[in-house]
Amino acid sequence: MTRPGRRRVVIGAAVVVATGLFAWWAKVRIDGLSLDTQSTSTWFRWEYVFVRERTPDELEEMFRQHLQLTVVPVVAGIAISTVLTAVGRRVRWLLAPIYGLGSFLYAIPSLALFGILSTYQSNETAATAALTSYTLLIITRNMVEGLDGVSPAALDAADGMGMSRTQRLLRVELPLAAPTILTGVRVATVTTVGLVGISVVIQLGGFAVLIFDGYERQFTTPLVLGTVLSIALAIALDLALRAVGWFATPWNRRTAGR
Amino acid sequence: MTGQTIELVGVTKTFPGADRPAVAPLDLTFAAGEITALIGPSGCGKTTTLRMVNRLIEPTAGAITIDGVDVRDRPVTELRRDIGYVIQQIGLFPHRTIAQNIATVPSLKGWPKARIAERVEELADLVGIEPAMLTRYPSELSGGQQQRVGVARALAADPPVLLMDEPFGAVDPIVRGRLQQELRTLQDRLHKTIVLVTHDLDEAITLGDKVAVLDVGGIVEQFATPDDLLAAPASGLVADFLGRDRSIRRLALSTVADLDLVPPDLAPPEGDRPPGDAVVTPATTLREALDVILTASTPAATVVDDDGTTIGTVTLDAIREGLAR
Ligand SMILES: Nc1ncnc2c1ncn2[C@@H]1O[C@H](COP(=O)(O)OP(=O)(O)OP(=O)(O)O)[C@@H](O)[C@H]1O
Ligand SMILES: [Mg+2]
Repeated sequence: MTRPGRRRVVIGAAVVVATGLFAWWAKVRIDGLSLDTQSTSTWFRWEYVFVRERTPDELEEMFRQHLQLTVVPVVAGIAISTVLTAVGRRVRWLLAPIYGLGSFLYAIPSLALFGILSTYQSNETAATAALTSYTLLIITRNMVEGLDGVSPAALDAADGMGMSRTQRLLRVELPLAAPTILTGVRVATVTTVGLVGISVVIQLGGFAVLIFDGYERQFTTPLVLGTVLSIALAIALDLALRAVGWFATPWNRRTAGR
Repeated sequence: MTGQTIELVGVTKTFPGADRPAVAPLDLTFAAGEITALIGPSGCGKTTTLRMVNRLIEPTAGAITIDGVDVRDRPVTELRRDIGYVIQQIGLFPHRTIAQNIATVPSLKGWPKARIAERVEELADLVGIEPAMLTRYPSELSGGQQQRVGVARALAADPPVLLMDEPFGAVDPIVRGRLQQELRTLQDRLHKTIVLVTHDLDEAITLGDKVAVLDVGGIVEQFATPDDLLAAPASGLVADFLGRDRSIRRLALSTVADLDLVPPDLAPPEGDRPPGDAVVTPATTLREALDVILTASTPAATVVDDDGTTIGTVTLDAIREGLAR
């Protein structure tokens, strides 16, 4: 991880801590308020979060849905990209069409994609399939670039030491490509957290349900709440994946800044 | 494990699309327990020849045997694990610690952990890597230290045969000289069969028991001991390659002990006595002895043994006669 990367981790952690402290402070202030007491602010009514009875259950359900609609497509995307990468690296001329297909998927208006798929499949399957398709380009490209970028000297040494093809892949190529692959997975994850929102058009949407609801009713509280939670989820997943990278690639960590 | 003979019989390599062979039909024997240096102009097929021995490149024709066994008769991974390989660009694995790098082949061979750990420490000591460095990553080492690790990694599973492709190319001349000295010392203990590819004539001469001079197309111009090579180049090309100072280089191959010294009681008359500072030992090379004499600007240097006793003098004439033998 590079120096700026580490700084971002620190800033991210600070943001999380600050948010926690603020929520705690707000809760202390709001305890004892009821629905019919004065609101704390016109644009954000804390009692919507802390007093309204149904809110915790609703938030939990949205969180579960948002997380699922992010994690399942990313995991599926990794699996499919692995196959595409294996094929593309063996038959190099297939790489161009594979990337082409990956970018073409972005050209289809996402609303249309969700809509069309949901006429054939359950809403959840449709959303998962559409979101998976958006992860393919970035993950496949980073897998190919990561593996192509492994130094020829290391490969030559691996062969010369008598590693089989599988041993070379598992012991040398994958570890050395890991930082690049992980970057692809991180970007795909954060992008997917944002894209999940569009699935609100087929009665899903995770935290975006709040945004949509707030927009329709011209009620800023759920709108702000949905946005903040969606961003927080993206940051949390990004940090988690950075942490995975940090622990998985100790050789990168020690030579940071080089 | 001490060395095994490597034999190349009619070995040819023509790369796909090339109109002429990179390596012409080549017959060479790398004798057991010796260092053979392969030297020649860039692109003459040194690396190709080396990599055909461990089958990183497959010959177009011909056969290579190690200890009488054709290299194609063994599974390729098994063959390579029994051949130490030091690659041109060092090629340490950047994601593995120094200890893990050295342990590469033993762990592929499935040695027990305790034995690997023991072996790694032994090798670190052998090539002069401090134990504290074993937990570092390659990027945390200097170029010279990395080359030592590359040699240790090649030696790890105690292979009888070692292929070294410009092993000391990436370090400055002083460190290179030291590493060469250490390799020579190591070899005197281990007696491996070493094939050493180099650009550096001095390296070929100081390390090689035999030197093969190749010309473009993988043609052997001369295969001889360093002394024979310098004394009698087989062709104009070899002579050109060896340069105008080949006699000077040849002086580096003999020491004062090889000469017939003038004994002390027959020492030259008073006026010709070398002054105190023109002193050499029996282990001094003739090249250094010549330098001592020229620097002190005297006709002879005093030879003193380890106890400091004068055992004779060495003169310019004696050095010239040394070369003529
Ligand atoms: N993989 C390859 N494909 C095609 N040609 C090759 C290949 N490897 C080497 N050659 C050619 O074979 C010839 C010999 O190359 P080789 O690498 O053996 O030379 P070398 O003596 O090691 O040179 P150097 O001293 O520069 O390392 C060169 O002309 C080179 O261009
Ligand atoms: Mg070469």
